[in-house]
Amino acid sequence: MTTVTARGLFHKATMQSSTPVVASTTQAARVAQAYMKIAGVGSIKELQELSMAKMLDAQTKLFET
Amino acid sequence: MPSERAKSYANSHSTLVAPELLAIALLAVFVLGYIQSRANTAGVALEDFFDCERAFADVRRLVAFGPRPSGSQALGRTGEFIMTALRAAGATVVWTPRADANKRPVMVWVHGGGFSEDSARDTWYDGATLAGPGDIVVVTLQYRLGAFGFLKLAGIGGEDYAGSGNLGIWIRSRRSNGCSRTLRHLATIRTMSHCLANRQARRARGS
Repeated sequence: MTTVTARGLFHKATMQSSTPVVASTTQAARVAQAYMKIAGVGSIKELQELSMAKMLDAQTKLFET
Repeated sequence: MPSERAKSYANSHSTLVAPELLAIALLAVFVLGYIQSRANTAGVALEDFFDCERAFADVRRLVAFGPRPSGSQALGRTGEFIMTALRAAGATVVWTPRADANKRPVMVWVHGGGFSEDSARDTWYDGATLAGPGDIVVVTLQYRLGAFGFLKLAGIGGEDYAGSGNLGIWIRSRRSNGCSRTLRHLATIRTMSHCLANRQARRARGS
């Protein structure tokens, strides 16, 4: 709703869950680094080659930490 | 509105059309509505831009919730809901109270879940409970969750990945954007009788 691409799409809206910003860019970058470490990849290319199952697995582990 | 020609086909072939439409009506308890599109009100005949064959296939195929979004860890029951959805392999689900020519407000529901779980497919979010009593059209969207939609790789992958942290949101807005177009496609049910009639008329003519 707050993005430029959503402009004009909404007539009325009710926000019921959280806020548009859940993490600062610095925090988000740290999460990404932690995620890649857990997934055992060092580059975007390696990340892209991960299977969905491995991505989900890494995500679950990350949420647990 | 559909052309007079189409109307006359529909009327003259109504007995041929009825069983097929009835089958769809039985299949879909919450039948797709006829939503008057902007194009329609602008005087463009719907059959001019509808791929009738495809529309029929979609209505028959998408009578259940679509797949869960990647990354969802929701535990909600999936259940089997008889409903109708069009477009994007069920990524967008639409409920409407009934099939008629009335215009209705459209409510778009984007599920929550901390950007990492839940699904529009959960039976908690059965839009029929809003569409019926409220006499509105309810649309729900799926979007990428967790690492699949919100992994910020800007610092790692450079400029190309600058927006990766908001991919899920981007998909939401894309889907919302697609809504008006989708809803226009949903005008099919009403139009389909004309389409079928046209097809049968074409067959009768041998073309």
